[in-house]
Amino acid sequence: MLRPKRRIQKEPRGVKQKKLKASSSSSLPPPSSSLPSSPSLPLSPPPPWVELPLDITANILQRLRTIEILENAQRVCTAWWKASHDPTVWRVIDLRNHDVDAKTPRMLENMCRIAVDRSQGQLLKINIENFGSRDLLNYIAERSSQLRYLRFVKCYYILDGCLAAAVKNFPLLEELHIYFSDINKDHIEVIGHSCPQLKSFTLNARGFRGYQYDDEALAVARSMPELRHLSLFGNVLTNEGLRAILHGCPHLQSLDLRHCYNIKLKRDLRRRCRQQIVHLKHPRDSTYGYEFDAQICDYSPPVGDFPWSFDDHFNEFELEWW
Amino acid sequence: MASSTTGEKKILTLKGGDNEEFILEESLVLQSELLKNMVKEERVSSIPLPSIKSKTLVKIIEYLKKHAELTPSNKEEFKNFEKEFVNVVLEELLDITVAVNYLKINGLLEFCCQAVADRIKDKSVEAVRKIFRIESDFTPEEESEFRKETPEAFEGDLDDTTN
Repeated sequence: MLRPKRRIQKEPRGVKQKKLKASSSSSLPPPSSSLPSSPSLPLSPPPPWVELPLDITANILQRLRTIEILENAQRVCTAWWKASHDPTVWRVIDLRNHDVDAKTPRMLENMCRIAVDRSQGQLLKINIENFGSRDLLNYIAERSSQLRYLRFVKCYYILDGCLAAAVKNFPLLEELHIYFSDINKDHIEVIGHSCPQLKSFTLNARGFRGYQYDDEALAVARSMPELRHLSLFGNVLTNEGLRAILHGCPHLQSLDLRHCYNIKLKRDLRRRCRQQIVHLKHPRDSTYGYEFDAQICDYSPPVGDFPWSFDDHFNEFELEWW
Repeated sequence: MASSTTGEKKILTLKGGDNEEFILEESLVLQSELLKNMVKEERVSSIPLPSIKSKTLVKIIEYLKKHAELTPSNKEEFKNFEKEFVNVVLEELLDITVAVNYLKINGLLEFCCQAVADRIKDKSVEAVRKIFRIESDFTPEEESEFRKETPEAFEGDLDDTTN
């Protein structure tokens, strides 16, 4: 009896519209929602959704995805169109370029600008995935001084340098999450100093073996003293970088070091981590449930048949079950 | 007028739109900011709510009772109850939302708004209009105006016309 919603969605829009037009002229269709229907419903007048107070309609719309509001909900009727211009609807913007309804980066940028405009400076949280440009970042920065949460996924090439300048406009930023995008140590420091309230920082990359580099970790340690949560998935920091972080970020409660293969948690350092960090993810902890590709680039010289020594592995295991 | 009491529990009467009366413990209605103020400041024992249908009031009282019984151990049961609570025809969901907004039961209002949003999710404009029984009231000028605002966003529509 019920048609799965997904199937309806996947039909080409034009076909669907034609079907609807054909049926609407003859009789009112029964409510197609999958719910117990009262027998008197077809005779009753349409429920006055459009008479809902604007703040309630806005409250409903803000729960939809950004693309959904712009492409569908706001086009339903003038009441919803009006409500979709309420700044409260746009306190959270979430735009991803891997939705089923694929969009070009240009379309997404355009939508993002509209959403930022409509937020009228009230934007609190924004997530951008797989698109973006320096211009867009500047556009957001110039209009969103209240921003608390910023997340970029695979926004290659746009962040380095540009982000350091942009975050100067986000003095209240509490969370910054960067996945698969390059950002150098100096800019990490600028970000840290520009956002004194930063509590959560993510700099996740692809796991890498055969290369050591502590500058990013040292920059975090030097500039982000208020951090509570830090994720450095796939970072090439060593024990030295980790020690600096533990020292520089005394309030740290959770630390994700998965795929950080230069870290060897032994004796003192292991004890130190245990004392300070409540939720520690070890370099070789499971990546099950990680939302992105957890493949490893391995440039390390072969050591016997194993890419890591048995001792290390044993220590990890021991720590995990301690 | 003083509230009537049974033992230590104060009893309150709510009158629905069709004059049906609901007698319940006063502590239950304190979840509603509107009723709380009436009870505390005006010390009433009977509150007429002519704008709320009895059927809707029954649902809301049912929710208030369940919510008052919520403990950490029956959280799961309450979640299932909530799911069933909004599993009603849209017309009824609208009535509940409007009433809850009027009564200022904030937690339930958020929940109702989410339930309505869930009915809009993943649906085209036409599908939403059909399900919510909303007629488009855009003038052709308005239609073209908002198409202008996001021209790229509607490329898909233009493509469809050629199918």
